[in-house]
Amino acid sequence: MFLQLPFHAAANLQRTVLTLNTVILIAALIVVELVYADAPKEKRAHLKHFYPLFLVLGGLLVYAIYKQVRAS
Amino acid sequence: MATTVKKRTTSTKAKTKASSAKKVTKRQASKPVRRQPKKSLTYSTKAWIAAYVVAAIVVPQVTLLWRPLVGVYATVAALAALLILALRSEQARRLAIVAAILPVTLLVSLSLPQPDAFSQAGEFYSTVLLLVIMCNYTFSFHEPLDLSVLRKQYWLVLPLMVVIGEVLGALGYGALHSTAYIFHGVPTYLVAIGAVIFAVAEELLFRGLIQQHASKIVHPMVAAALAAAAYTTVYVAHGTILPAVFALLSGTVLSTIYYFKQNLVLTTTANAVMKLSYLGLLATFVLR
Repeated sequence: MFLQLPFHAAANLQRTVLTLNTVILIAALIVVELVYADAPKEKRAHLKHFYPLFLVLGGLLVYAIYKQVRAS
Repeated sequence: MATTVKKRTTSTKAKTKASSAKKVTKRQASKPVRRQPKKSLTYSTKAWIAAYVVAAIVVPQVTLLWRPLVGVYATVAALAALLILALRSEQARRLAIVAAILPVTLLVSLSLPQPDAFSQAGEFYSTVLLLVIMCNYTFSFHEPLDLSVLRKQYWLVLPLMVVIGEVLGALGYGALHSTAYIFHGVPTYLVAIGAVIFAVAEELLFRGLIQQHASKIVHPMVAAALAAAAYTTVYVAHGTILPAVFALLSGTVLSTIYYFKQNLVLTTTANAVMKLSYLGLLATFVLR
C-alpha cells in the first residue's frame, strides 16, 4: 500500500549515483553542443521540455559538490 | 408549412455553423497553432515505443531489487535510453520525458540520506511532485490543458470513488495486514497526511502524465495498461509479492477510472481513500 523502495542508500551507492549523475549531465551537454549548437531556434524549441529533468540532475550535481567540499 | 420549418432549421443550422466557425477562429487567434507531427507512426512502431518505455521503467526497479549497485547503473542506462528516445522521436518525446521522471526520482532517492522509511517515501514523492509540476508547466506552456470530459454528475461520481477507495482499502488490509508495517515510530496522523500527498503525487504522475501522454501514441486501453504496469513496478519490494499484486489490482482500477473519465480529482479521491482506509483499519486492529 505504501511505497517501499527496494534499496537502502548506503554510502557507496550514494557515491556511485552522484558520479553517474555527473557523467550523464556532461554527456547531455556534449550532445546538446554537438547536435543543437548551430541549429536554428525553432529546431531547438523542444529542448525546453528537458529542463525539469536537467534542473533536478543539476541540483544533484550541486549536492555532490557540497558533499565533496564538506568532506575535504 | 413543412418547407418553412425546413428553411428555419437550415437557417438555424447555418447560424450555428457560422457561430461555431467564429468561435473556432477566435480560439485559433487566441491560441498559437499546434504543430502537427510530421508522420503518423505504424502499429509496430507504437508497440515498440510502448515496450521500450515499459522496459525502461521496469528493468531498473527489478535490478535494484536484485542487486542495488547494478540497479544504479541500470537506472542511469534507462534514463539515457529515455532521453535518446525523446530526442529522436518527436511523437514519443513527451511520453519519454514523463517516463524519465521515475529514473530521475530513483537517482535522487539513492543520493540523499534516508534515516527511515517515511523520509525515504517523503523524498521520493516530493521529487515526483516537483518534476510533475515542472513538466506540466513546460508542456502546457503553449497549449492549455485538455478539459475533463466530466461536466455533469460530478457529485454523483465522487461518492462512488469514495466507495471504490474504501473497498480497495479493505481488500488491501486483507491482503497486506500480515506484512510488516514500514512506518513504525511515525505518528499515525502524520502518515495519514503523507498518504494523501502520496496519492496526489501518484495520480499526477501515473494517470495525469504517463497515461495521458501514452494515450496520444497507443490505444487508450494500452495506455491504461502501461500506466498500471508502471504503478505496479514502484511497489515491487523485498520478501513478498503481495504489495506488487495489490498494486496491480489497484493500479488497474485507477487507470480504468481515468480511461473512462479523464479526471484526476476522481482517481486521486479513490487513491487517497484507499490509503486512508487501509491505514485506519491497520491502526484499529493491528497497531493498537
